[in-house]
Amino acid sequence: MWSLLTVQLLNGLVLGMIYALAAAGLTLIFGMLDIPNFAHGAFYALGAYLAYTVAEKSGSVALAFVLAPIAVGVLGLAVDTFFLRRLARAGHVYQILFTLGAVLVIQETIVLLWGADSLSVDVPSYFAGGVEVGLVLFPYYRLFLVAVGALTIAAVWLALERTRYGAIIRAGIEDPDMVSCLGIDVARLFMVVFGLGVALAGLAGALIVPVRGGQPAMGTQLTGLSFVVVVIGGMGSFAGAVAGGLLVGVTQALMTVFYPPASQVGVFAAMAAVLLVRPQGLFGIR
Amino acid sequence: MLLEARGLTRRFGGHVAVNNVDLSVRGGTLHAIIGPNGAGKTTLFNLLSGELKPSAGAILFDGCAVTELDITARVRAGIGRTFQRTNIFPGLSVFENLRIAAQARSAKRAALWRRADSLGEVSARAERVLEETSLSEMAHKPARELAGGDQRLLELGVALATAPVMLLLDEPSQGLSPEDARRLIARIRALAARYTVLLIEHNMALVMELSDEITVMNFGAVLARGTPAEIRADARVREAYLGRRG
Amino acid sequence: MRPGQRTGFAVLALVVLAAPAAVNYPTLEAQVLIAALLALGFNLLLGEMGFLSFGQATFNGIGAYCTGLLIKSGWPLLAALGASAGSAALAALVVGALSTQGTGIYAVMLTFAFNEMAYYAAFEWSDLTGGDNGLRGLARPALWGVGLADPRRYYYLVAAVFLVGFFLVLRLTASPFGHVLRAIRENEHRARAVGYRVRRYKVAAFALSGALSGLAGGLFAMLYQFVPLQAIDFNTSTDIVIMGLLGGTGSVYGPLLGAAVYTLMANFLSNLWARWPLILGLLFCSLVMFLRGGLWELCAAVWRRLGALVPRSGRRNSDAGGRRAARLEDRGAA
Repeated sequence: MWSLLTVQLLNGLVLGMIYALAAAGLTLIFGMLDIPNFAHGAFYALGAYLAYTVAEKSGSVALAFVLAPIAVGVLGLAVDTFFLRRLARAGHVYQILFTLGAVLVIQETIVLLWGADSLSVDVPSYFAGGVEVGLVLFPYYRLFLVAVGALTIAAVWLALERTRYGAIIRAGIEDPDMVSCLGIDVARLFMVVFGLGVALAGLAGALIVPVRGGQPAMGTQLTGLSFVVVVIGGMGSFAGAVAGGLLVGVTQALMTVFYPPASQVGVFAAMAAVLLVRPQGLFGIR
Repeated sequence: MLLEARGLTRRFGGHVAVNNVDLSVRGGTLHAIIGPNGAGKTTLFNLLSGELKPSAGAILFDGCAVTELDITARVRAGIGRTFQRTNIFPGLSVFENLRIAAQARSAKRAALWRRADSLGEVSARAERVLEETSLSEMAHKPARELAGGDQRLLELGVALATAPVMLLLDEPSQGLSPEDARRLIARIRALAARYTVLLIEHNMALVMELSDEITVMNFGAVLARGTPAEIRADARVREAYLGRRG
Repeated sequence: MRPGQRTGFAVLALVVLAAPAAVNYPTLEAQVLIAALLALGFNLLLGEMGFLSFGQATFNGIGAYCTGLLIKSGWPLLAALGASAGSAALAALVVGALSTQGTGIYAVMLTFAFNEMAYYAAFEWSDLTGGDNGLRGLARPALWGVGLADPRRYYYLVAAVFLVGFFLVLRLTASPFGHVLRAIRENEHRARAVGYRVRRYKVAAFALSGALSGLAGGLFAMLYQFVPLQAIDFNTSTDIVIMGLLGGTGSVYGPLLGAAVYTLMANFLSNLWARWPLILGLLFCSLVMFLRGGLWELCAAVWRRLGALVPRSGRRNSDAGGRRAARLEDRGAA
């Protein structure tokens, strides 16, 4: 029993790290741009498929983890520049709707390019094996995933806290009007934020493929969960997204041990409750 | 007294925006509130109209306590208001702006099964206000297409259409050209004969000319009150406006 | 109804009633009308009141399950449909009351969260709903002794319900209540300040929208004699949003057009090319970018052009759709 719980805890950490990465990206977009990016999961799926292709073509998994998120981020930049920013004057409703249409386009493009079947990728050979936890073997790759996630989050957090761009982004999340009043090119900043946000989703996608494989619609569920995490953590709060992601991941993994039916309803109920009782989220700043 | 406020106070965190204000407005008069920027005039209005709840104090309207009523209930009790920043229904026609405001006072305001334009009483009041504000010519224009001065008139019209007993006018001449301001003043003078008016206004000449009574606010509190002549002669008021000399 | 509306309704009724005689696909045509009811319910909230609901499938699904379960326990068809409308309205009342506590994006996210909760509840509660397998084996009962097994007969039942629903929406938009919804869309704060209890109107509009969606769900359940889990899926909510925007939110006819175009595309294009949602997505994104009044506005613009070519042909109100779409933009920016 205890080893099972430990393994589930570790699995929850893996899941939580994926949520944390995706939600950290979403919270930047949501907090600053006020766009509930319903295509977030689609970018995550795209990251997964791109990583698969890069790894296959180049033979280097490391390269895949670097290139796939960058490619997704660049696509995000383009989407923001050519579409979302032009919709800014039309209002948030139309920006939301655009991301909704983008889901269909990205998802179907994935099927066109990679086929409708699931991807399955072997864990790279140098990650073969695992740590023994009681009677169960916990794969090294999952530990690696947690480490990469944690490092990335730390790096982004440092960038937000320590660089000029980061300071402006944080100010922009707290008060977008103020920042644009200060004569800072908000449009360019938004573009960077959107690119960075979806790149984090792309990285999450790339990391998860060796664990769960890939399906064209793999992002649908993640979109919902990212929103849950962002809302619980507080819109625009980076630390909240990370803590919320880990919390939701671990809770879900443990719930599947104790009472599986509640694991999904529970998270969305938690989201609704937070929205109603404490809309600024548990760690919210606004 | 039609409207009475006793010890009205509103705090925002540590800041006291309105501090222990007493105010009495007699029925049928035009009462102006003046004071430098940040004196708490608009906050006082928000307290009187029910937009904000007071931290302390009580408000009596026509002898009834309305302190606990929200803005919707106070409109129904007969306190209509305009806003400093034009606050109309931009996509609706001028007539519909007035009609929807008038409809709020109808018992059939939420009816599902009849046509809105069959509420004769409501349309008639909207028509009346349309004439009073001389907006008849542009009755079918969307409100957002009106010029600034006409939008201020419509702002006033929307408040009138709710059939108020008392009108709270928050800087009605704000942002108007001198000519438009004169037009509006003429309206307000005409209104003052039929409604009790409480007015916030920066245009001092206008205030002195129109008011029966003036309350001067500074730093959230009442500094002085009296007739225009008394206020003009009040040394404290001069000081507040001009600053201490020497 | 105004005279123009009366003509519009008469033309629509004629088209709806003659459709199966002209083109004999009664099941598909019934599906179009069911989708149209859903889009109508959605647009009551977005087009009339300015509230973007991302959870319309909640009410559709509840209506579908309700009809399915009641039919299984032997209820007559109309009673089951009525109960579906009622239970969905009740659910919408609750969702509306809670969601409208939030403002802006928070409110939108609440409708989404409730949809996801309803979905996973239906998924887990498989004893009742059949879970992933759906609720199967529903027999279509006869109505007043008339068997409805024939798809064309069932179509006429759907058509009757649809026309009644549409008539009610037309009445509603012209009613004092409907005018208040528009005032809320234009300026919620001022609506409150002239004396409307805005929350109550919003919740009531939710209930009406829910009733229409629940009715659609019930009709759908009996059309395919089956309730798929998809009926309550968030993706269905997305489809409803797409239908509404595709047709255009500026007119009551827009959503009908959107529902028809969407349903027909889904049927014909999916046979031609399995990746048809790509086309749909591109079309939708282009509409959002370039034609926010939707296809209905496009039709109106074409009609206007024709009117300009042929003097004295109908030109009334032709730009109403564009104007309303513009209003929505103002709200979004606020």
